[in-house]
Amino acid sequence: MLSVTDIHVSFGPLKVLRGISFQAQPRKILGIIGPNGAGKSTLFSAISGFYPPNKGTVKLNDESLHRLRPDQIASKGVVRTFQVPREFGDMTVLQNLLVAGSSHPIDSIMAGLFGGRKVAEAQARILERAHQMLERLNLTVVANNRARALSGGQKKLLELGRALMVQPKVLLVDEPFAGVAPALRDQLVDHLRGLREEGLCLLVVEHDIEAIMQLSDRVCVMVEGTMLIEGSPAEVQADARVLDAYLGAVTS
Amino acid sequence: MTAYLVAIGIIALIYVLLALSLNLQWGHTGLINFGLVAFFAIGAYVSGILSLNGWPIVLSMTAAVLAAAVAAWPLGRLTLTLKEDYLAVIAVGFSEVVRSVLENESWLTGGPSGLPGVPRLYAQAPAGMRDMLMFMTLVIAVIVVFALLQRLLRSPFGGSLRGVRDNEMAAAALGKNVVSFKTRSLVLGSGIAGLAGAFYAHYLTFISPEQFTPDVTFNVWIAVIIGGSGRNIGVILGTFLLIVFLEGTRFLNDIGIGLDGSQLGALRFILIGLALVLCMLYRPAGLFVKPERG
Repeated sequence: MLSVTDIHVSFGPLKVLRGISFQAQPRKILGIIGPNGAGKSTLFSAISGFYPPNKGTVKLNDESLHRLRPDQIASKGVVRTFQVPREFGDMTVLQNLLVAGSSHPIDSIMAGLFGGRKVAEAQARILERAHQMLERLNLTVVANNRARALSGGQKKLLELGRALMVQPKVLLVDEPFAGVAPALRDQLVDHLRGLREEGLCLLVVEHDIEAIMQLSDRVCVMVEGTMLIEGSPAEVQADARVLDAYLGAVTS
Repeated sequence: MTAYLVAIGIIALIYVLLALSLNLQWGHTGLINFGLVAFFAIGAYVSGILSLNGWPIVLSMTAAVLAAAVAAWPLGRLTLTLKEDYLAVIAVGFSEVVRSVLENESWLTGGPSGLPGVPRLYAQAPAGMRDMLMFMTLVIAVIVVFALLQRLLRSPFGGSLRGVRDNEMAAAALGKNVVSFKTRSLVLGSGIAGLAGAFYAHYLTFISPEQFTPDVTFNVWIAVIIGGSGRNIGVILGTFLLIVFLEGTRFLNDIGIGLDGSQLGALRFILIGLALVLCMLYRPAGLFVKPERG
């Protein structure tokens, strides 16, 4: 379980997150929506250690992630994807997955130079998982293409696949549907649901309200760095304040 | 003639070691090390000074490798936590600092007049054989370094380095300790540059600060860029090409171009610049890398 308690993030005088709290459960998808500038991506960066919160705590199963570097947080099992895919462009798709799959100490100098059978076996297992991942995400045909040359949708899939190679407990997915063709979109929804069934805790930031309502078990609405409401998709959709937030109107 | 070719071959192989070092740092890790010559100098002086104080050459060369590697560690720690381009600036500064230490700490380094009488490798061998033995030793050293680097760069460690090179943030998000990978690459590469420096000192038997100007760094950069960064074989060929060119232009006067020394030097720079521009225009990935689309 991931618990976020009262986190604040400021850039100079600009307060981007002003006290966000929520809990995310395993086997659940928590959708996070909100208008542009609400701080959704910043929230992910705060949880994953890229922008350490000025105040507040992030805990994974009662273990604090406070002041840990992004790589340490990822190694603990909280892994994010990026809104704009950040593929390893000069590498092939398969290599992207292999890099993500090989963690310390497999990717140490010692293992590289003097690794014996154990290291070779570990590498073989990573390779097998990478092939399964390619299969699962329909990327097998482009396995040996340079990642830079993929389509936008394929890059999104690779971004997801690479994060999964780290074997996360909590997966933070930043706008998985942005720029993705409708056919791929349905596939992505299925993938995310499949991951939930496997026991992952998923946080999904998304602009596409329809997609997020369909996908999520619970939905948080963020506005101007605060959490407006949290509830089931039906509750959130019925709440007048959500419409206000999106349309920018203020009703009394 | 053979003696001359062996002499060029020795210098070329020393540069190959430097190019392999830079290719690890730049080609595979994306580190803009404009201070490579500092580690070359540290290797040369450490091995030179220790062997002049009676250390066996094998030990002094080992110490040179370690000293160059250790010198890279604080530089890495200081700069690699900052954003990428700081290393470029600070490394240039570092190499100039090293050179002015060599110039000014005369009690240790001989100052501007340098260190004469550094023992040769194979000093006991007959005079005609020494250079050949040195050349053979360097060939073996290059093969060993090349093989170790190939093994390492094909291992998951190499993959993680290239991940850091291609996208630092993504690498961190996937659990890679970016600063640690960069530091390890910098340290390892500097050790190789230190080895090159040690060979250089024991070959020339005389080292002075003016041999370690930024020209050396940029010649190696040119070799790596022309050869194709990221590919060790390409980088080796690029180095040979550069050395053949640098040596070849010495003979321009023999074919009747009447230029004095400084004009010839300027002409070389023009030609190298032209070659680089043409290379960037037509073969940006390097001469010895198959061009590919995408």
